[in-house]
Amino acid sequence: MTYVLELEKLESGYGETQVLFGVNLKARKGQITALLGSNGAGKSTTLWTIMGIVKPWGGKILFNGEDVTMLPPYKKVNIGMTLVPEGRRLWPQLTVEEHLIMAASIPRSKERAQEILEMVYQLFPRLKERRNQLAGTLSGGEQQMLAIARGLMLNPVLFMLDEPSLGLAPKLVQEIAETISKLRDEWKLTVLLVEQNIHMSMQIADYAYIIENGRIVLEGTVDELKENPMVKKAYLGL
Amino acid sequence: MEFISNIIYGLIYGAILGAVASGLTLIWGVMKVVNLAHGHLAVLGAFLAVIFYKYTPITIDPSLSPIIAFIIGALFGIFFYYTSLHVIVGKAETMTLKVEMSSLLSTFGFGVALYGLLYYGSAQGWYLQFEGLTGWTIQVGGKPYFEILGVSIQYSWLVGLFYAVILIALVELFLRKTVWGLAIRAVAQDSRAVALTGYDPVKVKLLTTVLSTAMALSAGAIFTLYIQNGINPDLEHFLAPLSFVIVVLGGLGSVIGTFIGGLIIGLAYGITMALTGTQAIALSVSFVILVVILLVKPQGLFGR
Ligand SMILES: Nc1ncnc2c1ncn2[C@@H]1O[C@H](COP(=O)(O)OP(=O)(O)O)[C@@H](O)[C@H]1O
Ligand SMILES: [Mg+2]
Repeated sequence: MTYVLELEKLESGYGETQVLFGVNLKARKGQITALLGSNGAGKSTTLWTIMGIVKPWGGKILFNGEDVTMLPPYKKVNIGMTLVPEGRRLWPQLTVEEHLIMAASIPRSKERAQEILEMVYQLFPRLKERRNQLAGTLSGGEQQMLAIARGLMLNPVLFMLDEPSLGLAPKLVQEIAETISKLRDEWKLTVLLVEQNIHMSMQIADYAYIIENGRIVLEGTVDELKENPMVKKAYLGL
Repeated sequence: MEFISNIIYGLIYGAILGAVASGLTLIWGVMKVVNLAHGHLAVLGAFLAVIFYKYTPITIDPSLSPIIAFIIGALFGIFFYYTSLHVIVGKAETMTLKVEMSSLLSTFGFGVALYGLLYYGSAQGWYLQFEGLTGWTIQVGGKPYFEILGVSIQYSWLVGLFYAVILIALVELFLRKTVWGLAIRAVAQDSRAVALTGYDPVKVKLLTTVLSTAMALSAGAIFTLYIQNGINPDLEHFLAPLSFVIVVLGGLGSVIGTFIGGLIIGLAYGITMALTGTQAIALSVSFVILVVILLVKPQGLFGR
């Protein structure tokens, strides 16, 4: 098994408050790994720390076996680590196309920009129709598509998504889930999916971690976890 | 005839005022830093033009001073950014009103310091008078001006106009044709997302400040090509308000608006000046125009 991302005893927090207490997690190449947990468990903090937006206090982050613990965010992006953040974080006054151009212009993507753009528009035909529209005027579902599209334009190896289903209608959640499966199966990306929506994640993920109070409390293949009594009770409501 | 002259002079003057405002369009209109030092930076550029001419071992022709001032301005912009802006805007994720207001205070402080420095310099006897600077005006065939349809136009004004247009075109190109132009618009809206898209937000902010400062100094040097009759630190009291008027008039962040806004103010100024001969009245007219436009079209002429 090859791991694209490995977290070893990762610790971090905000100001004086520690949030992560030694998180161990691995993202398997070509698979969808899910990081699941309830609100405030430390999922987003894990992702911000992986990207270097929140500075790690201790532990290690390995990307393709290389130590990238202290790399600044923009350098991590340029080696293929991409995060689609919670709440989309689009630029409301920029058009759809301007978002994509921004991402496509980094050194890492430049050469393949045209090719990826076509793939992205094929994945999200809606965005092509709306390419001259300001991001602030898009619907919630379209905004999530644009956030994912912007991430894909960065030519990623590791694709991380923070609660992509948040605030979307069930039908759109299903669409996003299908898109994420495609990213694994057709785009050959390694995905780290952070979700509170356990049902949706269990449906598409291969391996999952459960985080509580900044610690991983359980891990296993999705099939194993589905049978786990604790998961059944606490998360699947069975 | 007099009237036509005044219109032509007003337009040339307006283009040059537009150039003075163009750096402000970038840093305030787009990056949302209310740069109250902008006028002082332009005055510094004007001082430099004279210093290059009079106080350096090699005399630098005034017609080249906008270029030199641009280069020095770029270096000065790094200093400006790290002394006044970095702490406030470097880590700011969005340029909220609070951040804008903090930037207003810190750039005000920087401007006052710069003003003090230039004032001190003036008092020390490097008071910069253009009289006695022979050769300052650009001459062709022994004459500093030419006549066309009975209107006489100075060569140095033409050179100033040339630089003014170049400077405004430069911001336009930067904002529209480079990805950095997109990046500064993005950085004002959500800089964390800019980092997640592979750019260093601090670099984007630094670059914008550097370019804006370079433009301010260069525009100051251009301005000396126009006025030619002595500059002092108080020139700021004239350049800064007009720059703000022009940027708001044209619409925040609109480069073409800055150019047209400059022309309108220049025209109004030129005509009122010709009719009344009083600078104070000419200045007030600019503000009256601003108020009227803001009542009719609050986002400015070309604002979105
Ligand atoms: N910017 C912040 N400053 C201080 N505390 C924060 C900040 N962001 C999150 N936290 C705290 O860190 C903990 C984990 O939050 P988060 O990682 O956002 O959880 P999750 O994404 O799993 O909902 C929470 O207790 C939250 O209050
Ligand atoms: Mg979260």
